[in-house]
Amino acid sequence: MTGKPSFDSNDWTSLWANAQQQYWQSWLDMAQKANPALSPKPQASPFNPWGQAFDLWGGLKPQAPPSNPWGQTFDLWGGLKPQELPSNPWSQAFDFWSGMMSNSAPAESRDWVKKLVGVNKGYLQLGETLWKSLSTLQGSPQSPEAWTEAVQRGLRQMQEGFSAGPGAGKDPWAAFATFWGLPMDTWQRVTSACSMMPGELEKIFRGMNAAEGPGGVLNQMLSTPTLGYTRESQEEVQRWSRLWLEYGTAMRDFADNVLAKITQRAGDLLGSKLAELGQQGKTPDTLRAFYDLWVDCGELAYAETAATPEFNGAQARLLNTLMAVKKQEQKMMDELLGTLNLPTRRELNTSHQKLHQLRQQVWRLQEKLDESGIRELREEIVALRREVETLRTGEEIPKPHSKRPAARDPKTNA
Amino acid sequence: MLRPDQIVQELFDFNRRITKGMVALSQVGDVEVGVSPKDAVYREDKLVLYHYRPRVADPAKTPLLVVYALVNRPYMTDLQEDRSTIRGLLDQGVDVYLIDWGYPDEADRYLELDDYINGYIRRCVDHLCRAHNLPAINLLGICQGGTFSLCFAALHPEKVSNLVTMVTPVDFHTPDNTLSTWARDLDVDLLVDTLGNIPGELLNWSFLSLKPFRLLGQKYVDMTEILEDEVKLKNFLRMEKWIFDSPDQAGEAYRQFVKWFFQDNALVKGTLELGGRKVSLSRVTMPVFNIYATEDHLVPPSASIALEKQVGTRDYTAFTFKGGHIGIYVSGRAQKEIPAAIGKWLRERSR
Repeated sequence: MTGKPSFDSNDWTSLWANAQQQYWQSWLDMAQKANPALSPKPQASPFNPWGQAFDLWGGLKPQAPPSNPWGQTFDLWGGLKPQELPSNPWSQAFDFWSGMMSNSAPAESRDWVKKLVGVNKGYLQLGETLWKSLSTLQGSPQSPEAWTEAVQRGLRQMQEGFSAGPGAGKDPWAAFATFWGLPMDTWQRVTSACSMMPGELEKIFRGMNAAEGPGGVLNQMLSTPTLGYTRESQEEVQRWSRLWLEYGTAMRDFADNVLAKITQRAGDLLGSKLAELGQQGKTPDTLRAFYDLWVDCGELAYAETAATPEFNGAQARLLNTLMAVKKQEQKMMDELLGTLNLPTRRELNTSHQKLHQLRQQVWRLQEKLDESGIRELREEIVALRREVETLRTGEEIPKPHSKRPAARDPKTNA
Repeated sequence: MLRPDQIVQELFDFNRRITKGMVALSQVGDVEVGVSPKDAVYREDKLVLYHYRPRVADPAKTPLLVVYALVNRPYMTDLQEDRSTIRGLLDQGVDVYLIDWGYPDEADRYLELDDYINGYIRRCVDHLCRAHNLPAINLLGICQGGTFSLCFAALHPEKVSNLVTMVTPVDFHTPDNTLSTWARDLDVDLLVDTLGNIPGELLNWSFLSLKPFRLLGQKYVDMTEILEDEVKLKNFLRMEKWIFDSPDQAGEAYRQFVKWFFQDNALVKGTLELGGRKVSLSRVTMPVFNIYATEDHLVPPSASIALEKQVGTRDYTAFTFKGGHIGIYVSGRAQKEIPAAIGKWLRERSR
């Protein structure tokens, strides 16, 4: 960000707020259809989506905690059948809001708006998962044991979803798309700029590799001898493709064998911790407290794994195979640039290296000059000139080094 | 027990905070860092040597040169008025200089560790020796800059009066050094040959991956709670700016640092050579003040404490700070403890 924005920030915030209102209005309509007894408050301000939303949820305002929140929450849904409810309403809302927000935000703010909503989505998804789990307790006796069991059941379902691999027809990377996927998500962001292959194309390669396996048809095809006038460039493309497959394997290995274990372990730790707290009657009483516990368990599981040779090897392979891809891309790009008589990376490297060698020679020569006392002689001459000048003008001769000399530029050596 | 309606309520509140936060963020303006007045007194390539204007009438005769790491920017030591190690040192009467390495570009990719240590640092030290008419000055090396300072002091002990090291890795192979473990199987030749300079984003990924859920998730959930407090928001944004203000690393220097320090642990093995000369920590005979942080997840205490058995000095002091790698610059306790401890230690050894 630089300086104050040149727009009225309230405009696009209002847009966003309106979008939220519309979203909640549609929910309200849906709830009304199912239960006509529910009706919106007509006096609600158009810019007060929160008020409407809380109305919708049966008056769950902070200052008026409901006497029977469980029942009220579910009354809202009236006669809605379970299959009519959105499966992930919060995430849908957040996706909608964030899309609306980032699109309506001025271009210069778009990046951080996306960042802010993106990083907080995990929190929302946790709330959603927890909400679903606890909602199953409707009408049941509310005991710490039942509460813990409901949460653990939800966690197990979440873990089962995560552990569904390619055999289940799922992209294993999707399992890490949320909170647990932060390490991998960050990795993908970091590496997205490291390859000339766009992200979507990379996903295709990832999928191909998932179905392929090391000795599969695709690998064999990519090892077919090349023929004819363009055989060398064909070989380069084949090599590049094979390297991509290797990178894909490394990514899968990291996701399946490292992150999946961390996810599993973190879930187990959280389950144990909840059971322990449940026995003590100290289950988390806010979503934020639950989230913090979740983070603690995630970090603990991650720290346990991050120090193992398996993690280290898998992570190193991830980086090493990516670099092999990029190196191959550079080689191919250099070939192309060479045919166009444009400067190549190789040429630039040679120039930079030679330039640096010259710099080092200059530094060494300068050092030798300093060591041989020439610098001191030069300084003495300057001091003597100053002294002569002072004598000539009749001023008092300053004592040597009574004042710190000004900064010197080594290039001019003056 | 957490109830579904509470979750709804908290999520509504969470969204409200984000909405309001959007406005706050759009109005917060520039995030300024590096607050203490300073003057550039020497420049070379992208390096700038700064002199901080004294805050006492009669600062110490022997200046202190702060050598920061190549990773991240040195303004962390002078982030804001109430979070500034530099300011604290100035208040202690220390005459402070600092090397700002700048942002290397591709033309710098062949810079080596020898160029940094026997080149840039030596010329900065020589400049200060001449400027102050002294044979030697005091050095304060921070993190990787501390490792560089140790190497410099071992190669040029006559130019260093007193050496202060802060969260400085010395033994890179202690069991709890996760970062070092990760570097062992890295094909650093392929990495540098491919990328040239190492992008700052890649280094950030390494650092943030040490605690991904806390540093990439929880931190921003925390942030939503301070979005409406301008002072706290600005403090947060200053830190955020610093964390992601990561200069690229000169390729050759990075290759050497990873190989020699992380992979070979050459500094403590006594096999390190720079500019054709062996770097022996036994030649570090000047007084040494070694500050480490108990909760440091980047440079574990064990990596720093190892210094005691390596240096040749008889005047070695260790200082334990209860905090982390970042807290040692910016926490309230750090402001009280760190500059005062350094100032006192230096005063006791002033000649």
